Amino acid sequence: MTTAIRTAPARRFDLSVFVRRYPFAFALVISVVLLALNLIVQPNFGPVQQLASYAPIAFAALALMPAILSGRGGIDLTVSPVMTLSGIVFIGYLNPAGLGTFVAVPILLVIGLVIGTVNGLLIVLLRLPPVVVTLAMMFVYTGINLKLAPSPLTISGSWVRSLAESIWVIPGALVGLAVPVIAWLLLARSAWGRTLYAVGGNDATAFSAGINVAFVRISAFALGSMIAMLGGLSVVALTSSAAASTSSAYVMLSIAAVSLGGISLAGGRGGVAGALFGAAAIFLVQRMLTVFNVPTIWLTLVYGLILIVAVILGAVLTTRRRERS
Amino acid sequence: MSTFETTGVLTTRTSGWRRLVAIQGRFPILQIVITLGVFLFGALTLPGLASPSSIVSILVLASLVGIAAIGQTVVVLIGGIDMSVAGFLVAGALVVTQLASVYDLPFWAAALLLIPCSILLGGFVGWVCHRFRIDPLIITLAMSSIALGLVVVQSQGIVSAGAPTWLSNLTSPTGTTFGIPIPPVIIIWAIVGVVMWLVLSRTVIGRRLYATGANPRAAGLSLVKTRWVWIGVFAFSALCASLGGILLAAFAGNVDPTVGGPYLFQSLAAVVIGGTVFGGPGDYTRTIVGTLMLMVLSTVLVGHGLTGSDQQILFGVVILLAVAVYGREKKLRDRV
Repeated sequence: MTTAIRTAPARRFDLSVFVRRYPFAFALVISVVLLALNLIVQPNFGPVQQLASYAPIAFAALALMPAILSGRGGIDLTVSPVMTLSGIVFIGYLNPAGLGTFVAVPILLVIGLVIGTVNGLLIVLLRLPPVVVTLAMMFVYTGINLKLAPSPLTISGSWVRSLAESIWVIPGALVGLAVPVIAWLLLARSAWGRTLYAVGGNDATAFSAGINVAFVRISAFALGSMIAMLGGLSVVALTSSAAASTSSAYVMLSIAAVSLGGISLAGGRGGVAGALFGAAAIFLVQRMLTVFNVPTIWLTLVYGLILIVAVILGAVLTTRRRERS
Repeated sequence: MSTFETTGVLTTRTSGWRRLVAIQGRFPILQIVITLGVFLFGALTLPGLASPSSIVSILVLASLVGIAAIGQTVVVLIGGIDMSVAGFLVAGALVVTQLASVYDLPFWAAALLLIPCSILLGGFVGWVCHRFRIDPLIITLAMSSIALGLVVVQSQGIVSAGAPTWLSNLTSPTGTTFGIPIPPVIIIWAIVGVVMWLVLSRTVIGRRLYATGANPRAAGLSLVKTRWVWIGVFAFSALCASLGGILLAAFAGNVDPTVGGPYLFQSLAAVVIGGTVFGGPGDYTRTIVGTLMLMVLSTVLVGHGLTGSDQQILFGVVILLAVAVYGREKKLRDRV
């Protein structure tokens, strides 16, 4: 009898506990399975080219992450139009002016900083819901994109191209993605990172603990917009063009990637691994669709379904079991 | 809520400014003044704007936006946002034109098919949002592309067939209703407006809806089945959008999948400008005022050389301004 009692509370593998501890595990498993399938179906799966096409989705998911982590429905719908804006500014203005990497990129980052700070200030100072503010700003930036580039812009022979090819032996896309990932890993371990998670968990509690909630929230939106500006370059590297019509191309995909990666849309839970693996899962689904020659008119339908399934799965995976009342 | 506070102050200290603010809280006076002012400015600077025919065409445009904004108003009242208006509008328009010609369906059969489908899809949105506590923005965004995708996949490769003539007469600015020189769509909009006002302010359904929007928890404790309110509201919104799509098909003639976007932005802007706040208070009469203001404003500005991209920027800014006036949240230190 005593042995039975001793073994009863032994560590049983509890899936829900595991998933709550590693919220990105689900997206990781999906990515690995889909990657294996892709490799079987398509043996000439060139890693450099594939990583280059993966980069924009990953950037969009990474850019969305800080705003979502800051909580209170803090979603940033401007990520996609800001990525397009970045491409338009680069191709239309910075590249013709002959500015090199080390001048052009800081300029783009400053633009991102300004855009994100404006979003954050509107949300914090005017106390407006982030969804409404970023939706209105999404209209504004889409309009600005249309004004700056009424017809698609193209580029040839620029250093940006190397982000979609190889830099030495490393795929260029990895070099590009390393910038926000390393920056995030450093920031998440800093005091700022801890306060961001605290604010996302419960902003009223964080406020009573003396955290400057307004600053944390504004800086989260600013960081997101800066990552989005870098993401715009990865789109330029991939397509050698920038078109205002792509302003809302990554809205649905980035939300789907983030929630599939176990980053709670309620805020305060999740991390960089979730964004990367979530984006990888979405990207590999896209690959499968093209490999199996699914007609493009099916894509709107499939993207919508992916988003709903991803968001429901994310909600199921990240919410705590409801306490009995 | 602010209305009650200001009227409370009014009894103790009556100043003209506070009285104005109190009236503005109950009725969108400012919006009406702006609408009339802009119209007057337009009438003086743009020749022909004040003629009966151009007033009728502004009203036709306004009624299309207004009908698209019916569902949006109700969704905003319970604290959500409906991005699927765009998808359902186009889906509705394509079902009665292209799908009807692909499968040789008569118009009424296509319309009958549309009603249960949009109610089902919309209701599913409401259920998912309520059950899993997900922001409706995300689910409606997905549903918009699903609704559009379902119809586009069915009607692929078919050149658009256009709407039947009697349907086009509904929305033609030169159309008449029983001999009166007003297009039927304006009459439809007016009737819908009265019905919406009655339902929201005079019925149990309206009460439950406001209760759910103001405080879902308190509403649940007062035995309002908030999940069914959410399901019903989103189903209603999807239905209104797809029926609005039929009118849009009649108005636009040829329908392409991008036609819904502008109507989504305009309907959302109209609701917010009218002063309906996320989670209430607000009602459909405010949306009507907001719609008229938006249409007069954009007609006059387009007359003065505003492009499509300028218009989009303007809508974004106007939504921000309106929400900043009406929909501010509590201070963080008041929530501790």
